[in-house]
Amino acid sequence: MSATFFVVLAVYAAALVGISVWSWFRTRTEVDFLAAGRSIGPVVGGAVLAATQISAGTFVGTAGRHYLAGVSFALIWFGVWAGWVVSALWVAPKLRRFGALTVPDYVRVRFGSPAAGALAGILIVISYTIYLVAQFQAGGEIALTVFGVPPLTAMLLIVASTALYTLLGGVRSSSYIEFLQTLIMVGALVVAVPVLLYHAGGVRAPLRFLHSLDPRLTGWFYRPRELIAFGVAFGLSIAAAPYELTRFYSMRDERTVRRAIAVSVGFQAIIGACILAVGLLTRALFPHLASQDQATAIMAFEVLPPLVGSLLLVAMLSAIMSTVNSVLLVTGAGVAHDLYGRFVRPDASEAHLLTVNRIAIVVLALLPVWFALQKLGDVQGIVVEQSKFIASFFFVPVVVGLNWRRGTARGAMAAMVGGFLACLGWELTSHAGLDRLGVDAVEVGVATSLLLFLTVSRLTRPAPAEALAIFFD
Amino acid sequence: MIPALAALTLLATPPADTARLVGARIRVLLAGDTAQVEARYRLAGAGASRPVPVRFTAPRLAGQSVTLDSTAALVSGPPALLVRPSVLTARPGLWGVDVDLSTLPGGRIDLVYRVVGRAKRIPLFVPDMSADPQASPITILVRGAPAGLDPAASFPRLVPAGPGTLAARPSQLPDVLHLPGPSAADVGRAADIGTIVLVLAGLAGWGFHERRRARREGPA
Repeated sequence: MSATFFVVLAVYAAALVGISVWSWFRTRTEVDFLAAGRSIGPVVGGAVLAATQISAGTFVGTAGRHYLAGVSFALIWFGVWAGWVVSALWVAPKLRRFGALTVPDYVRVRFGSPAAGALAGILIVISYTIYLVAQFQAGGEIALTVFGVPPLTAMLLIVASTALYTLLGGVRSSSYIEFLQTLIMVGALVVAVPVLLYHAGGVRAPLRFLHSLDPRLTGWFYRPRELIAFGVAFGLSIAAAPYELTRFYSMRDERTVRRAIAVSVGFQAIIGACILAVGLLTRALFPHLASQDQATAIMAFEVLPPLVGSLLLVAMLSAIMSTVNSVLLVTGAGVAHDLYGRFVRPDASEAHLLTVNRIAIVVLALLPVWFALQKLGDVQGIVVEQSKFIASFFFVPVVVGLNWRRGTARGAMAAMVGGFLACLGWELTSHAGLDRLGVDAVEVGVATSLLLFLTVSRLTRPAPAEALAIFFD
Repeated sequence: MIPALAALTLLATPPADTARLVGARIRVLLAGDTAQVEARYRLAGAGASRPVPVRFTAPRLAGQSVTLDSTAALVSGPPALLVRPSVLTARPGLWGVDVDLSTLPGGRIDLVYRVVGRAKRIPLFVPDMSADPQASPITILVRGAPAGLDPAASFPRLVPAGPGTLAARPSQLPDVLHLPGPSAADVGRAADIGTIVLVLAGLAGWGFHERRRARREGPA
């Protein structure tokens, strides 16, 4: 298995370097770097959206939650797909028509306020740093479980390799790499399920075993209320997720964006069903793993044939890298384009901004490594927390802001800060045992954000007509 | 940024300090449709002062019976005994053996059982405690395997380990030993080929789509 894995890894790395170098020679401007020259079609675009969404959070975290909690956790996918529908109908086409480079660009132009854009940039950097913690932790878990490599070494390798292809080719290289990665993920997972069923003795025997092991595995592990909160957090954050929204900018046109979302949901449905089967069947074969986050890596290493297992492990590491890459493109742009380029050196040349962007990417990649080494929770738990923050501060300014003319800059800023603080405060009080209402932090965060957006917008002067024309006329 | 990450630190729940499996050695002797299994588990605990319940589970398959011949415990540290006799229980799809140890600073439990019927799939009892994959050596030895068995197609993957003996050293203890018969389809090879075909088909499909698009948009 190890020899096969390293051969597969070498071939994949060669493909990765080839695509990156090819992209390097086609990246001359900031538009090339951040939006792939707006050349991405629906198939690659859909695969990219799926690869960005299907991260370590899915491969390690979601499979781990199915291992721990069974079938019922699958209901969160409906929240995810509802988020995509909202995005396809009310967000993505308008953003693509606007044709900016970053999401804070949208906030700045839509509300006619550089300050609101800067605030969006800062909040994006904060919440995505949390997201990177989950990705690095998952990478460390896989490396330790399968190869006995210390987590820090694995995390630094992930940072180095991801930074390389992010720095070389920007969105263009990452888009084609993610397309290849999605194909491998889908191929390996689709094949993995029959192999697992073969060793576990079919469908019925493992299900009966799991039911006797813990009836909640085939019934309700979480209360419906908790599952709704998970689904709401994922759905609302997807509808307004900056790293997904940024991908829309790289696509050819609005029609391509809608088709890419449909392709992406198709990929996700296949991957989601396979991940459910992987979690359950791994539990049926290895009922007591030390951590649920080890489930997919153990399954790939111990159950699958060497080539499929190696491909799946490479796809998992690649999923981590692609998500880290997407997040670094967003946070790096947040620092260089939205903060440095707007406030520190507004007269900076494109070449200078590109250099600042690349430096920011390296710095922002290293910061979460320390937090990941502290192992703050299971991977899915960290992803859920991050989704709650994104939904709480971004859903209202993006989704409502794109569809309600009367929204103002002060309203957007109040919504972002208020939503973020409400979510954080509620989460802390819930954790301290003060929550008796059964209301989740994401619901409090989004409700606060919406209330502040509507109220403050009504009380303040509307955004300039020329800013609104781009989105509403 | 730091406050949000610090908040995440506050939200984290510390892992529970519980007993764990630190090694296992399973010997399976096959004779026709019967398998004799001798399983030895090494456990380490957190120095509990009250009896520690340990539950072993294994999948229960139709057309197969399991008889528990003996259980024995040897506990290191303070003298300890099995507090109550271990009993084999049967539930739909699952066999269970419950053992109570008076203390568990560390020690060993042996289970000896016989499986009759469907010898291609031998249930292995797994204790309800986790194992560190790097520090818990697990060995499964199989003797008397049917002629023509492909060890690499079995689960966990077996390799020859001396005359008439096959061995597997998985990183975690599985709850079944699957020994596909010689006539079984080569699932591993089919899976390997299937994955490559799917990936290549995807790439070819995309390439075809892009070529068609380029041809369509080229003249315009």
